Amino acid sequence: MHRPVQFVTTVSTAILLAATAACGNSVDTSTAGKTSGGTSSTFKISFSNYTEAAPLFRVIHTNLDKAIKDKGADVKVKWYDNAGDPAKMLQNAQLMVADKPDAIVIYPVSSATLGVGKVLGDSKIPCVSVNLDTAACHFLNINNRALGEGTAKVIGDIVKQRGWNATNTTVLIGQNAAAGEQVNDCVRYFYTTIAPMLGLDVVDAASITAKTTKIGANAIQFDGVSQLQPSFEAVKNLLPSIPKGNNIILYTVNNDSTNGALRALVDAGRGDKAKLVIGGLGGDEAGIKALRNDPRWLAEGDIFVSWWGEYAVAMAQALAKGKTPPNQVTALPQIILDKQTVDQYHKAGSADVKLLPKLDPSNEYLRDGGFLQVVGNIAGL
Amino acid sequence: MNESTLRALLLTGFLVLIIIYFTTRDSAFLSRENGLNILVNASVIGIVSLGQVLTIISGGFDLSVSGTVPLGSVVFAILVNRGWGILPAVGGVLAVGAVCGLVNGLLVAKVNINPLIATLGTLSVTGGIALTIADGLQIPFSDPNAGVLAEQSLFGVNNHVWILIALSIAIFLVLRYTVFGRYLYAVGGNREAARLGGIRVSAVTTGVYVSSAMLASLAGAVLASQLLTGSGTVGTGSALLSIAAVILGGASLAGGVGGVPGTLIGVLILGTLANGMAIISVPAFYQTIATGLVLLLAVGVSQARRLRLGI
Repeated sequence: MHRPVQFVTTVSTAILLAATAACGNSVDTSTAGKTSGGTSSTFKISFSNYTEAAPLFRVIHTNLDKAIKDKGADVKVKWYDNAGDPAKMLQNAQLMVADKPDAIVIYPVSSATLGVGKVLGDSKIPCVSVNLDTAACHFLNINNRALGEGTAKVIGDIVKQRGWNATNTTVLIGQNAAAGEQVNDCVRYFYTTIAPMLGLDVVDAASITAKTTKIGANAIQFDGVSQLQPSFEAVKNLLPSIPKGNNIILYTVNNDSTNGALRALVDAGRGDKAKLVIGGLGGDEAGIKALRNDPRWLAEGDIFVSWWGEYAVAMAQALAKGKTPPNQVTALPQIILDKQTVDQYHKAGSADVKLLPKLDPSNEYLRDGGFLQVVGNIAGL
Repeated sequence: MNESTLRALLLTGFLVLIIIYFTTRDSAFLSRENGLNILVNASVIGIVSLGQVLTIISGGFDLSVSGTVPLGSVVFAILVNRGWGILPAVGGVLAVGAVCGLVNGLLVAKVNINPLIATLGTLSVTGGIALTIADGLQIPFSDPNAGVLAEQSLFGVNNHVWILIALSIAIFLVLRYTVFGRYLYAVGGNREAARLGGIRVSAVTTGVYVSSAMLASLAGAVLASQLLTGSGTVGTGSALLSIAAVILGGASLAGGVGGVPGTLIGVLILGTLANGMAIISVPAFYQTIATGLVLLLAVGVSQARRLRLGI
C-alpha cells in the first residue's frame, strides 16, 4: 500500500475509534422531566445493569425508565450493560466515571469487584452497589439469608405435616458457585433452617461452600449458574443420585434456575405434586404465576426486582445530598409470599406490584431523596 | 487396520474406561435411566457437532453455532406459539439456519474471509438477533405438547435422540459414499489441489456452512423442546463444546480428516464425563478442569502417535 494511503487509513481509523469510545457503551438513555434533555437540576445517574439479556435483570431498566417517564421525575439515567461479564463491568465503570454523573449505580456481575471499586472510589462520585458489594460504594441489597430462612419455614411447616422427614426426603438446592457467598446465602440458610424441622442432618451454614455437592445424607447442591439450561443439565445429570421414591424439596437462587431444574425433574417423571415442593425466589412473573397456579410451588421469596431501580435512584439521591446510610447494608424490599398472601402485593391475575412493603430502619433514610414519594408505590409514603 | 479405525477403537476403549471408572465409584451410574440421561444431554451438542465436523473436515470451523442455536430456539418457540405445527416450525427453523449458513459460506468462500473471523462475526450477529427477537425475555411454550421433539417415544428413547441417530447415519453415508463427501475431504486435504482437480471449492464450502448452521438451528429447536422455552441465552457454549467433541473424535483442524463415528464418540466422552462427575459429586469448578485435561490428553496421545508414524 502506498504511504499516503497508509497514513490516511491510519488517521481515519484512529478518528473512528476515538468517536466510538466517546459514544460509549450505553444501551439506552431515559430522561423525563419538564425540560427534555434535562436541566441543571436534573439528577443524572449512570447505571450499569447486570445484563440486559435476562428478563430478571432487564426489568430493572424498563421499569425504572417507565416510572421516570410516567411520573415526570427530573431524573436522567444513562444505562450500561455489564452482560454478565466482569471485564465488561470494569470497562463500563470507566465509562460511567467519564460521564461525570451526579451518582453511579452498579449492579456487579460477580464478587470480583476490587478493580471496579478502585475506579469508582478514585472518582469520588457517590456510588451505589446493588446486590453485590463493591468497595468504595454504598451497598443496597436484599437479605439473602432471611429469604432462605423465611422460605424454609413456610415450606418446612407444610411438608412436616405431610410426614416428610429424613427417611423419605431429598433437599435439592441450586447455587450459583461463581456469584459469591452473599448470593448463595439463600440456599445455604434454606437448608440449615429446614434441616432441623424435618430431622435432616444439621450442619453449619459456613460448611456449605461453592464446592459442596452433598450435604448430609439428604441434600444435594448443584451449580445451576442462575440459568435455565445449565440448571436443567445439572439436575438431569444428578437424577440417579436422588433416591427413587423420595420426596423432593427444590430451592435455588432464582426462578430461572428453579424452572430449569423443575423441567429436568418433570422430564424424569419426578414432578408429581404429592412428591415435589418448590420454593421460588425472585417475585418475577413466572414465580408469581407459579405460586398462584402450581400446587407444588408453596412459597415465593419476593424481592420486587422490578422496583430495585427506584430504590437505587433514591439511595443515589440521598448520598448525593450528603446523607450517610445508617447501616452497612441498605435494605431492598423483600417478603416471603405464600398462596394466601400473594394478592396483597400483586394485582389480581398479574405479577404487577400493587404496593411495596413499608420502609424499615435501614432504608428509612431513602425518603430524604424524594424520589420514592414521586413514584408513590410504597406503603406509608 | 487403517488409522481412522484404530483411532475409533482407541477412543471407544477410552470411553469404556471412563464408564468402568464411574461405575466403580457409584453403581447408580450404570443404569438404563442414566444412559438415557447422558444421551438426552449429549444429543443437542451431538447435532451441533455433526455440522461442526463437516466444517472442520473442509478445513474451517464454525463458531457462529453459539448464536445459531439460541436463534433456532427462539424462532421455534415463536412459531409453535403462533400455532404452527411441529414439522412446519422445524422447517422454519431450518430455513433460518440455512440463511445464516449461507452468509457464513459466502463470507468464507467468496469474500475469502478467514473462517475464524467470519464465523466470529456472525456469532455476534445471530446471537444478537436471537436476543433482539426475544426482547431479552424467555419465550415459554403456550402449549406444553409442542415439546414433542423432546418427548419419549420408541423404546422409551426421546425423539431428539432418534433424530441424532438418523442424522448421524445420513451424514455418515454422505461422507462415505457420495461425491460431495469425497469432494469435502479433498477440499479439506488440499484446497488448491481440489480446485485444480475441477472441484467447485466455493460450492462445497458454502454447502458445508449451510449444513452446519441448519443443524445448529435444529439443535436450538430441540433445546427449546427440552426446556419448553425458547431463549436467547441457551446454547451459547455450543461452539467450543462441539469443536472439542469433533477434535476429540479424531478430526484435524488442518482439515481433510474426521468422520461421524469419531465425532459421536467424542460427544459421548464429553457427555459421560459431565454426567459421571455430577453423580460422584465432583464440584462444578473441578468438572471444567477435568474436561479440559481429558481433551488435552486424548488429543495429545493421538497427535503423538501421528508424529511417531509420520502421518
